[in-house]
Amino acid sequence: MGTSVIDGTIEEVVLRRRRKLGSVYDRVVFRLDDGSTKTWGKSVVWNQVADHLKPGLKGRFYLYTAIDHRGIHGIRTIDGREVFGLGKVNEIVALVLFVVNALVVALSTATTGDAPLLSVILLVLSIPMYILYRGTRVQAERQFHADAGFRPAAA
Amino acid sequence: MAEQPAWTYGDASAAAAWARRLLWADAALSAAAIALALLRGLDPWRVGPADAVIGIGQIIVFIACAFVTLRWLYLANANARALGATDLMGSPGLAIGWFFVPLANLFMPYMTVRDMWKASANPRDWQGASASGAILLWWLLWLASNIAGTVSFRLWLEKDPGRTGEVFSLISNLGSIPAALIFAWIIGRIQAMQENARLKVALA
Repeated sequence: MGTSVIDGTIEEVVLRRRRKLGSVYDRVVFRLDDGSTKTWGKSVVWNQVADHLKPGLKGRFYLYTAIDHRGIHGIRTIDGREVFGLGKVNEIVALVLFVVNALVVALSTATTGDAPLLSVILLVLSIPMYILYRGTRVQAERQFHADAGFRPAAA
Repeated sequence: MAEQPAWTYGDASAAAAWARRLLWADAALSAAAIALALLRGLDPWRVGPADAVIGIGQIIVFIACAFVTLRWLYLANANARALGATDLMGSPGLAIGWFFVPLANLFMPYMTVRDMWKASANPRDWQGASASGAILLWWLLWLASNIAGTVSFRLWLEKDPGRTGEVFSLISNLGSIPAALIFAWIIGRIQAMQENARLKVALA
């Protein structure tokens, strides 16, 4: 749904949990170059990016806001590290929801002549879910790659 | 900093005032419905013209209240963005839309109002702000009231509701009174915070 960038230094990192692929942070607090702070609230970060998120890290941070969650999908640091990470898990979940519920609705209609309401709702919802999640990932990729070659200033 | 469309601050005070009045009216009608139900001993066969008047009044006020409250939600969400709150999830239109999306309407409206509170308290660093616990309380009461109301309505459709339908109707009305009053307070607080923030921007 949207992307943005923060130029600054990580001041505080509060990890809620870490899983195999990604981490969830309660908050990441940035000190901006103008001296003010900006908090990035409960966010989902893929581990290739999360591995670098430590207090004192200075650079440009790439942020995304999806339809129901937010996260950090990329960093470019003053020491030259460039990391991008945003997976397709949400899109895959939406696709699986679509396929499974399409099957349930089709089979149920064929056998009983009636479709379960929950399956119909999930089937309909999975379509915009897929489109929106995919849109967010594509937008985030474009944003990060459009900034290729950028090197944050050390000062 | 953020690559998002610019929003302009619009006056939402009239919508906020009307939304609050209608929420108070909704609470008053729910209280009247409870009183009438208790007076007839929760007997569905003793429903009289007064119950019908209150019931029709509740429907009319609910529709008016929904329209005005959703209008205020749209304006206040857009105003939070205009005051500098970036990276809010969704859009002002979606703040309304969530109420009509099955399953998502069980939690997304709560998250939207919670984020609007934070964004109004401190637009520049809203994710670092805290939200009032009253928002969660309002949302749980609203859900409980709606679930009880739905059960009551379905029993009524079965033509033979008995006392069970009356009890669920009573629970629904009991939940909707604090839900309406708390939401009226939340609207007032968010509106006041936004007006203060706007004043600060104007004076800066």
